[in-house]
Amino acid sequence: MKNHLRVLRAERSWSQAELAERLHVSRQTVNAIEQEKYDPSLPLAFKVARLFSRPIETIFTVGELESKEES
Amino acid sequence: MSSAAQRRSGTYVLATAALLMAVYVVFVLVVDRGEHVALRVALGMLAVAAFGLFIAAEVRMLGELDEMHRRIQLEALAIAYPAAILLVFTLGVLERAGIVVWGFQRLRDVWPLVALPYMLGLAIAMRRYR
Repeated sequence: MKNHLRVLRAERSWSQAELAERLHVSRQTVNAIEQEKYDPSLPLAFKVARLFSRPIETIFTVGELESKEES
Repeated sequence: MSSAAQRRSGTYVLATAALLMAVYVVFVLVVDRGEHVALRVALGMLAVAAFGLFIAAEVRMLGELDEMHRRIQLEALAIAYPAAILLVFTLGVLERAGIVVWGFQRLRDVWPLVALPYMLGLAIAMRRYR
């Protein structure tokens, strides 16, 4: 699964630690999500969407679906 | 579930593990010196109690982990369980073949080794998400 978490975080000038604190997870978890090594659970993904006031599907996308929609 | 809480509970786990090892080493030394049976049993039970504290610390730590770290623990156990069986199986096969592996002649010598596959599993699982 792909995501735009790093970009959204950078727009708000938050560090990974700050974002982690807001999401009640560890900094390592934020880092793993940003690096797309870990896919968050649905509740955590919704929490991220709520935090950035964006629809969940604009933050998290499935790589294959995204490329099909673009073509 | 903050990083600070996770660190605190991790420190508690390490502290109880250190306590367990210390009590167990004293127990083994006392047994080897042939001290009175009451002292041996008392120290043995103290080691069991220390193990109980260690398990309580582990359970507390699990409660404070976030979802990714819980998954890491699960993957570590999924690797450690068959790896521990493999280790005991290997020692059993060697014993049955007539080779006594030094230091592991009895079940009481094997249990500390079972922690090793968990360490290995944890290292593999943590590396995956780093």
